[in-house]
Amino acid sequence: MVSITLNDIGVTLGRRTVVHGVSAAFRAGTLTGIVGPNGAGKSTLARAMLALVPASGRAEVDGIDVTAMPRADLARRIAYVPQGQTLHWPLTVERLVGLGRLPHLAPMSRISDADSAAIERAMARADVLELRDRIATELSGGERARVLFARALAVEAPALIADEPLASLDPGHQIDVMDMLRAEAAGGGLVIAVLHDLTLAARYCDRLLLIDGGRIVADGTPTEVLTAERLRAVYGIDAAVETGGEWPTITLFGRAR
Amino acid sequence: MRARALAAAAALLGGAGLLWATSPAPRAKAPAVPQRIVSINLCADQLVLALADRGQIAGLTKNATDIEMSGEAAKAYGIPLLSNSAEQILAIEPDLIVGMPASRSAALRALPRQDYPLLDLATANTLGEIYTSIRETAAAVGHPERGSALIARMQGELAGLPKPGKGRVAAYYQRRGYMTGTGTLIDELMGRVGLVNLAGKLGKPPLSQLSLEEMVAAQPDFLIVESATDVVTDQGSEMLHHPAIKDIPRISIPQAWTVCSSPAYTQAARSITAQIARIDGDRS
Amino acid sequence: MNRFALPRWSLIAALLLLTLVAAIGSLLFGAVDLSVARLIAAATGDGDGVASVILFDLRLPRTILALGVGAILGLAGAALQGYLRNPLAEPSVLGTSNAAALGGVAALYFGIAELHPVMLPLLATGGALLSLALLFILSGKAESPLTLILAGIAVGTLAVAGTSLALNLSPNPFAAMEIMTWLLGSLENRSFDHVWIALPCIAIGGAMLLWNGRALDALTLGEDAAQALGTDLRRTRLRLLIGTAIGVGGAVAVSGAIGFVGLIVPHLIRPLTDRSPSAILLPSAIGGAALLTLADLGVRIIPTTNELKLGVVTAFLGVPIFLLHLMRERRIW
Repeated sequence: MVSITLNDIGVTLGRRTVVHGVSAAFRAGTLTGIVGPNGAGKSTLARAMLALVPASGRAEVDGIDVTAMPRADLARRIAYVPQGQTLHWPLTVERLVGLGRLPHLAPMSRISDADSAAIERAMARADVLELRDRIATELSGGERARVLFARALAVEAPALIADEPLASLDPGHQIDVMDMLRAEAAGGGLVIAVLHDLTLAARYCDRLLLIDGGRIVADGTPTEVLTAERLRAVYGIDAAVETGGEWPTITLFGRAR
Repeated sequence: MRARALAAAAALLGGAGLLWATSPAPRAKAPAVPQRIVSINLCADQLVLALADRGQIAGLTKNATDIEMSGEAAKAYGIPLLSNSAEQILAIEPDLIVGMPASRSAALRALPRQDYPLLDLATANTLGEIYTSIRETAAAVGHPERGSALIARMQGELAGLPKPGKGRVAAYYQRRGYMTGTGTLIDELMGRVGLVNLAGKLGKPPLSQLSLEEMVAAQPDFLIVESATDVVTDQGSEMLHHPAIKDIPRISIPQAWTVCSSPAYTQAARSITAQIARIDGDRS
Repeated sequence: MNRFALPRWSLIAALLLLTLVAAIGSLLFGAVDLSVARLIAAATGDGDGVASVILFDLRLPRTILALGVGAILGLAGAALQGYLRNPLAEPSVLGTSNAAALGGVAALYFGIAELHPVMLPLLATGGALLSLALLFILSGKAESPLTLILAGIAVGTLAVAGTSLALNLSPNPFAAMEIMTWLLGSLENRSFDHVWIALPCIAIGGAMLLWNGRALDALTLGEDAAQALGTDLRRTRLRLLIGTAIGVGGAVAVSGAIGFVGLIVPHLIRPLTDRSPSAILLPSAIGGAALLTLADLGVRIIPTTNELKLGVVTAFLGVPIFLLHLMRERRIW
């Protein structure tokens, strides 16, 4: 069972300290949402888990310090969907999804049958099989999001971190992506997503980490974390939170006065 | 090469230079013995240095002291070197300006007064023309007797010279593959020592570029090169050391002796004959 | 599927065939007309002296250098484009070639090259390395392709000015002519001495660049994603910097700065592949060899009084492609 543990993580970018002493543990089978206002340090925290920024403290995957782990090793344990739909060359969808197999390839070897099978599975799960021969840069935003998600799935890592996977997607495609994240967690994966949409975060996540000013403000189920007082304190908004159903629903009124 | 290209270009345009010289421009008459002579190109430097007193010379060109380019370099040390600027000439107030040729000099044209005494020598491509320019210069600097003496000495030196070339073919091969052709001083020099100019054989113009391939195919008996290119200093000289032409016997003479139609002509002729004799001696 | 994509092996085979034709052409044609029979006789060892000197001392080293220099320029272009994710990146556009020329000029004209044969390629490599480091610092993490190209122009202009200055400061009276050769590039009059200078550098640099295929593929998704896919970016950057510097440095040390080969070749090759950076590396090396050999054949065959400089031909081929990319990028700027 995969696990990610953060112990007193601090990140300083330039002169600004973006993350202050964050400690948390993540387990397999759960979908955790990291929420918080812009500039709160959500993405930076996610990047610290992948050793993409120099951090103080200790981030561990399966009990091993991520900064001490060979990159390919870490890559096989955590798949990552970065912010933005960065795609620099016009690759076909199949070729692009195939990039997810890079951490598994032995030096000087080509893609094996096992790799091809993993690529097929990933494309099937993200529902992009019919796009396989299309040029990825020519796809719509929603299609592209699914393809990039398939690319991460092709790694077949036990853990998955997605940074703002819903950005610039319409509600339908947002729900598609959240469904896919949910399915990963249900299948036993450790899934962490940096999210802005509180309604969807509340609807889909097992657990939320509310971050403000680089610190964890609240950590728990959506019902525990998303209270009207916290939303006012952290986001500066007036909102009503209804907690009667299976998940809390949030109605926004406006800027707090 | 630059100087030579210039000389060759001047040879082509030689007629034009003469025309300019004879045009009826108002010119002040030079005093019988001018005291502030300015030479405006390297070839004129050579004649002025050979024929005028040191004290008469007020300015030479910047290459006058370069031993690779100037045959009279030793005499030039200490004399002011000008950078071809009208300002400097103006400041000197020369009583004689010597150029070979003086036409097309931007510095002269830039002078506010155009009436300085001017000696405009034609570029000499034969020995006879060298003698003419010596005579003219000697007269202009006020020492005609030195001109006659110099000519007599040169004639004496050349008279005793053997012709060891025996009709063999030589190419005067310069940096970047430039080859000196017929109608040039070099060509006459080759004929004087019994060599046949490859450029003439191939029907090339006074200055042409011959690739290494063509040189290998032409197989001349000798390559005459400038001594400055004996060591590789840049890409231009590097090609003359290409393995493809390393087996062709070489005669090396300083550019200073041939670049201008100057009194150094006889030195060049003597050196070539001596080097041919040495190469033939090594062979036998 | 890309309509023009060829199976990898057939693309490579076709390019190799083209390169072979170019190389044979380069051996057959030159300033002197030699019959094929005479050349074959020379090649088999029972030809006349003239033909064998022309074939082995003049045309063979020149052909080998055209192949090697073209290969490393094409490969360096493909690798730099992959690393910088910019189809305009290549050694001459980024100023690397000119900086290598500056190193070469410094070695040759101040007598440093006479100390040891390795000094010439070493200084050229040093020049290239410095320029790349400067370029990476200048362009930083900027996402705009324009920033990189502007930084390249700054570095390249500085290197050209430095080359001119070095030649003007040197005691060489023929500086103007020399500057032209260094800035436009030429393979005229090269010998095996030059082959031995350039080829080892090209081989080492080439191997270091070919090594990066997977990292470059991963970079398609951006730097973070590439690292999360197991790419060690620091090592990739180092391999790329040093590989380009050694390869281009060694090549420029003997040929001068020949422009645009690294731009033209990947541009032509990419549509024939799956467009991933790794797929164009080897084909760009082979294609570069073919292109430069053909261009060098061109400068020999085109009748001009003085032989054309190679950089003139490659500039005429390269600038339209450069402009094409600029037009495409313009909407982003």
